[in-house]
Amino acid sequence: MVTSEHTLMEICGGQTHTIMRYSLQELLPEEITLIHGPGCPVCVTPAENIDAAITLAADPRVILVSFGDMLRVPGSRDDLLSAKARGGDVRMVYSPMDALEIARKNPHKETIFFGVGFETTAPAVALTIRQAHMRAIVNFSVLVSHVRVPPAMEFLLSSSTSRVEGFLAAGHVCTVMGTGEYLPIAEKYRVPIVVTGFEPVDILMGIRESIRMLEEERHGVVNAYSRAVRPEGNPAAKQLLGEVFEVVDCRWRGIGWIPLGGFMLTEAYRDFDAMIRFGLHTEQSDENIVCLAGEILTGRMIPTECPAFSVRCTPEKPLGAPMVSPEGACAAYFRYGRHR
Amino acid sequence: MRMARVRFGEAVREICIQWVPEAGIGDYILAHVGTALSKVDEEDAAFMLEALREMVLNRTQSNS
Repeated sequence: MVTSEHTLMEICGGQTHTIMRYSLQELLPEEITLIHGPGCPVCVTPAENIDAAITLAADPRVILVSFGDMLRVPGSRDDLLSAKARGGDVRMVYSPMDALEIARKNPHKETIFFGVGFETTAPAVALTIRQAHMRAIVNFSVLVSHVRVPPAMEFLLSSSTSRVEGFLAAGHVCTVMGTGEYLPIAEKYRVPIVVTGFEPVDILMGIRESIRMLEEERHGVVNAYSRAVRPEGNPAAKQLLGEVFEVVDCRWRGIGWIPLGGFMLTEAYRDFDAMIRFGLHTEQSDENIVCLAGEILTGRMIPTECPAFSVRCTPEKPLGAPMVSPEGACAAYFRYGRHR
Repeated sequence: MRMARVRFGEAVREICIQWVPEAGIGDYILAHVGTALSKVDEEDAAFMLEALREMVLNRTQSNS
């Protein structure tokens, strides 16, 4: 069925994980190469945002609340768990709504939620902010660090060194956003973009559809995850997302500025921006030069090609985000035994 | 906010379901960080996963 070589990229940490766990690359013919893209929002959170979270956590007036997977990611110096060890009130939650509850229960402190995640997560944060607004909960704010997948796709495709011929689009991002944002990208770059789920068979099906389209020289968007994704996405979630957040250029750690790659609060909700409330400004920080996260996140290198992988950089002593985050490529390679 | 108790394996969590108004008791939903994002038709899902499992099985058998 495959007559020539093809390179596909997935931009979803969950898909990276499944591919590694089930060794899906080995089930495919040699002609097909799977590349891991920057599908790990934890990994692409700028170091300076983590530094800001640490600064806020050190303030005795603050309760800094975060998703668990951010706690061990190093900023430019250390991580939130270290800030906690030094006496900062750092807490972990499953849902941003839990952070609002912490604010409600602690009226004499400021509860700040560290908002990290793609368009799958941002609506829940938008909901929380709107609830805070409606319930006049004044001691709550958000350190906004949400990012958008389609601009990253476009950025990668527009690079002159791009080898990517097709994408597996992240299924859960698409349950919210639908498939519409991918149509102009598929048209402009003439690539197949196949909305794909997370089970091993979902990924194989997504790959099969992408390869079929490449072999037939067709491009466009196909939904291979229709049991959870509708073309229009979830209109109510999208509507709330648009009410609370607007699109902005932002930096993706390891990659650089991605035009329209992130979210900021709309004017109506800007009061809830923790950076503004606390008068903080971020400056780009220096990165650990040994960590090759940028190469890994853009699929130019696989973790086992990094000299530090499993030698100086392990989940216990990570040099960078892709080894810390459960959705990171380096963590997935390490966990599923791809050592030298 | 419309909330529901949702089972994730052994655990049960309160999840906001206001974005999936068609979901009722006993339905399967896809949830993320405390919000339901879509309803998943369990029969469809089970049927498709089984069909795909067969596809993979046939492929790996014919390759060996």
